[in-house]
Amino acid sequence: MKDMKEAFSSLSISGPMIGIPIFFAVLLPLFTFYIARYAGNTILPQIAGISVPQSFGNLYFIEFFSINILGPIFMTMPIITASVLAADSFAGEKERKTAEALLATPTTNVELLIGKIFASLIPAVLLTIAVFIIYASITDYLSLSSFGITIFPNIAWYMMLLNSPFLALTTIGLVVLISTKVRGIKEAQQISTLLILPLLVIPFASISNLAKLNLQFFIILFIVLLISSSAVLYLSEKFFDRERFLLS
Amino acid sequence: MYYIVAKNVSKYFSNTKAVDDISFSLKEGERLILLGPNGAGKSTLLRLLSGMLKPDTGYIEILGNRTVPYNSEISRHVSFLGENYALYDNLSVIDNLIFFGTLYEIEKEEIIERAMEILSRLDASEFINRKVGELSRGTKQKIAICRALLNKPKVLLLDEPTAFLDPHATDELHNILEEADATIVYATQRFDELHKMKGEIMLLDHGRKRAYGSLEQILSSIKDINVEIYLLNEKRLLLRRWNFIQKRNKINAKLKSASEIPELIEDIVKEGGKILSVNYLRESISNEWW
Repeated sequence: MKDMKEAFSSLSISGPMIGIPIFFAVLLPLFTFYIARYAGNTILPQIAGISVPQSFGNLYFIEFFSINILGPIFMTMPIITASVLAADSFAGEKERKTAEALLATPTTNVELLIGKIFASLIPAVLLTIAVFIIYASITDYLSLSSFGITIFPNIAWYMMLLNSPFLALTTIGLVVLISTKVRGIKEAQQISTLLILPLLVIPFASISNLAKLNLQFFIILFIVLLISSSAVLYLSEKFFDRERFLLS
Repeated sequence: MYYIVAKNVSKYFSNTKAVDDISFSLKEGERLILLGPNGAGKSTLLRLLSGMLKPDTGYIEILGNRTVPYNSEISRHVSFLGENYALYDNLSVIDNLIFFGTLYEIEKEEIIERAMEILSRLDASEFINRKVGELSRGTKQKIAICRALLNKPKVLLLDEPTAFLDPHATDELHNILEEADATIVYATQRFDELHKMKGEIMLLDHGRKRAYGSLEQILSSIKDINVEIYLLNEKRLLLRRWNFIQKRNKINAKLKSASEIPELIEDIVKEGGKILSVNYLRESISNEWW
């Protein structure tokens, strides 16, 4: 609770926590809908490599765009929010010079890590779910009013939501690992947000038919994230050293 | 039973020896004052005692347990107040205290009750609901002191706790420490605190122990007592018996022992000098060892 209270009372944390959801939940569906309405039929054959009847083109464009283009972008959200929160929580203790007092308490390494991991994980996941609900509601409202049909929920987005806690966990684990090496919040954030890069490759892979964002893809992604988050969290606990955390 | 045992403790930072072969032991309720200039190794020694840092050589035992590997049972009975106030600026005073108190498994009601008691004595209870970031540095230090005392520690490690405190709060802190049952290691570079704290004194310089003992023992081992006297007036004094230099209203005299100080003062008064202050601890100790 302390970490959440402190993080959200700081503008440098609450700013991105409000700004990023607005971008993902409100601006992206409006943007998608605008393109679909005025250029969906033209763009669809180029980006999806398929041709559908004119009357379904715009609707199909929204569905394709929301899964293949916006989906991977949406999956960066748990990474961004978790990295902001975790960096503030771990590296922030050093930057604010509160680490000394915290490490002097009877809190064990495991207790300290669990407390801080959950303090970053819970808001990151809740925020992701909330943004998804808003995004899906806006998109469904627009598509229902224009095409008389809803797009969400669908299996791809369920799978993306399922993956989001593991994306957040991998990010947090990475922040813990590097928090004994970096001096401040910004360094920790910059390094951890490198995880975004592989996700940003997915839309291009999808457009160029190198990857299909179907159920099989998301199951493989889930397994990879499950293994990577477990490995990173195991390593972060194994290599967490109070002295190095304090002195770096 | 010894509450603190430090045996041949050394700590290096790269090629610098921050603490160099320090040994001492303290029983229940005993106090040790670490006195030294900046960079003497006081803070590092306190961090080693708290278990936050690991000695490169030697070992430390707190309440009969080694500090390495980290033992949370030791920390339960130890409090550490570092040179930074180490509070969360975005949280209120009471939220900070509840957070830290909870880590020591103290009930919320007890935290509030104990916090009010300590803060009232330090004239800071009115700030209990204010955000720490809004407070003056001195008030933050009072809150940090309160945090360190919340768990009624058996071992209390204090790093210059009176820095930023006003004279009243300084005196009140010394009263609180006097009443506490804790074994205390108290780091300071303020010579005026030597007579306020009862206990052994360890003089540190560049991480090394330069002298150890009671204030009396330390003073008796000094070859030359350097006295600094300030006068209210600027009367030119002759003082033929004494080895001294006068600059305006300041007199620096070199004596063979502290017992000669009353005679010197008597002679100054006889010659019409009006005494404002007499200091000899800082001048004598720093001249001898630093």
